[in-house]
Amino acid sequence: MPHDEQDKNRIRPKLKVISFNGDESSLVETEKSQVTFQDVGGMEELKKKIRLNFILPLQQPEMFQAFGKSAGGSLLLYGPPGCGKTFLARAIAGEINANFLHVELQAILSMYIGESEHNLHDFFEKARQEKPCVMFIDELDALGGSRHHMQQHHNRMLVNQLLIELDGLQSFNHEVLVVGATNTPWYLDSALRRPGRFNHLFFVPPPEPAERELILGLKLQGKPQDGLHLKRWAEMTTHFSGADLEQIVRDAVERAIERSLESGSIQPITDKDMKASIEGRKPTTLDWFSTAKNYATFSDINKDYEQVLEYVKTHRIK
Amino acid sequence: MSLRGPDAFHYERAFQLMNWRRFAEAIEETEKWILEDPENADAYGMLAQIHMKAGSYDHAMHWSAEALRCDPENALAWFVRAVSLYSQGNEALFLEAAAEGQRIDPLESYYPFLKFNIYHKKGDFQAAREEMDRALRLAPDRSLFLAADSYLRANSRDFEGSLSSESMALFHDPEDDQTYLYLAWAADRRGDYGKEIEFMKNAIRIDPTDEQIRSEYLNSLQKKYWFYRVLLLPFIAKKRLGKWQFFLVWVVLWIVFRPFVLLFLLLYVLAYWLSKLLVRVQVFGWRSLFRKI
Repeated sequence: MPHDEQDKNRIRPKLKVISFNGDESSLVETEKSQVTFQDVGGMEELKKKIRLNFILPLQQPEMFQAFGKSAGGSLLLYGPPGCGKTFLARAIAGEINANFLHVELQAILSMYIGESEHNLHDFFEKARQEKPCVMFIDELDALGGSRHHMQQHHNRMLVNQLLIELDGLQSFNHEVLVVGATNTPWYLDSALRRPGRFNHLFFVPPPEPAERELILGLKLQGKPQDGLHLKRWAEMTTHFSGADLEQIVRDAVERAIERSLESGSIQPITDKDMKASIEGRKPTTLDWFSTAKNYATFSDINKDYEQVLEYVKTHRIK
Repeated sequence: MSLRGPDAFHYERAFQLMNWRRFAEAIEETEKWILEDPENADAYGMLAQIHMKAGSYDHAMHWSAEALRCDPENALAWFVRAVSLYSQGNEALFLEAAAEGQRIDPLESYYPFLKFNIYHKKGDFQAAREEMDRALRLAPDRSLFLAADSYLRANSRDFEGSLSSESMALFHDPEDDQTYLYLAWAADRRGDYGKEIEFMKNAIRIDPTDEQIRSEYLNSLQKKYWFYRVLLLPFIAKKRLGKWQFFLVWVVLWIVFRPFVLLFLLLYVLAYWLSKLLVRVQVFGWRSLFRKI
């Protein structure tokens, strides 16, 4: 049996996802289907870097220990919203068969002074208990924004707590990989970017045509459709994020439903619906690029955003 | 503003989101607050403030009016009205709103600062001085005011005073883009182009999204080139001489050395465009010469 076939037939283990339930105000454990790098279309360079820096040290610790590199650490994913940063983080967890701890802003922020720091500490403790664990901090800018721009003392305390927990990574957090995600890395406190903290920055770009075709196919799966030319629509949606593509499908579905209600029978989604949906939308990533380009051109002392400039030039984003 | 319970919670979240420039979410949070308490002037004031920070001055005016309907003495609403009117360039209404705002909140130092800007732009340095003194009495440590004071002093040809205010501004806050912008203007007035470039570099590092900062930064970089700086020397003389003396010197030069004056103007235009071109290549790369930025 070819290798690919074996992979397909392999029963995938479930990914244990620990996240915050806002209604119950507590952490809940759920199981989700395991995703790995195979499920992430494109981004080959990015996957290679993550594999070398974070995954292989966990899988082959002896070799990396010989070079003084231990398993775990932290990395920061940044890019326009809706381009799959969370999905990529889950794929990292799937790749190393680790648990996935999803930290969201609403789970941390509390109206009582001092409690937010306490909540953050609890999350790190939970990650240490559940290792190997990928701890995914969404909207990192909200937790670790520049202290200089914070007027409230207790907000600065939250950044300090995050720094303490990250520094603990080296001593207590073996096999805990902290993945941060942000749309606005330039708002992060500079202390968070020092070596040992979030010093590995990875740009997550909008999907390429092949990935867009895949996303459109997935979003349309199970819905009545009439021989859609997905390749064509994928080519017409340059710079669209995954979330934008989802919206396009939603719009097309609405049109098909409207037609179905008018005719009294189920009408499939057609290329005409897709065309009308695409024509009515602009990619939301362009706003992000317009801001990011300014930071990359004028404010990038450490050359962190060179990939953004490269992407802007290659894809001729104005 | 002193808030308790759910009010404080909504305010804190909305305020944080606004500071992170996540305006849509901040508006959403404030709308939740208004839904819970539809007659709360502070909630409307907050919503107006978010719109003001996002640059939607018409919305800011609308929601500040709503806040004043609930509480005609709401300090935040008057503040938002005054700043929005100032930003829209409506001077007469701004002065009215600022007077009312100052009556309600006499300790708010931003009102005299905005008035200072109006008088300073008009060249009324005496009135600008009075407003600046008022602002600095209320907030003596605010770097923005100290930087503006440095600019005013440079314009009034008090270069020593300008440098002293500059060092105080940098002492109190070395991480504020607007402070650096004013300090760069002050350095330019003093003819200190090295410092001007340095300050503009800091301003743009902190906030490259500000269009004014971007444009002024690129202008300042032109002064890096000696051939452009040399041709700016007569303008330094203007800053030191005063308008009438400067004008008189040019008239005399035009009568006595007409060809030289024409040659100077030609060289100035050439140097200006050449330095602009070099800056463009330096910042955006040589390929930028063939595309629109």
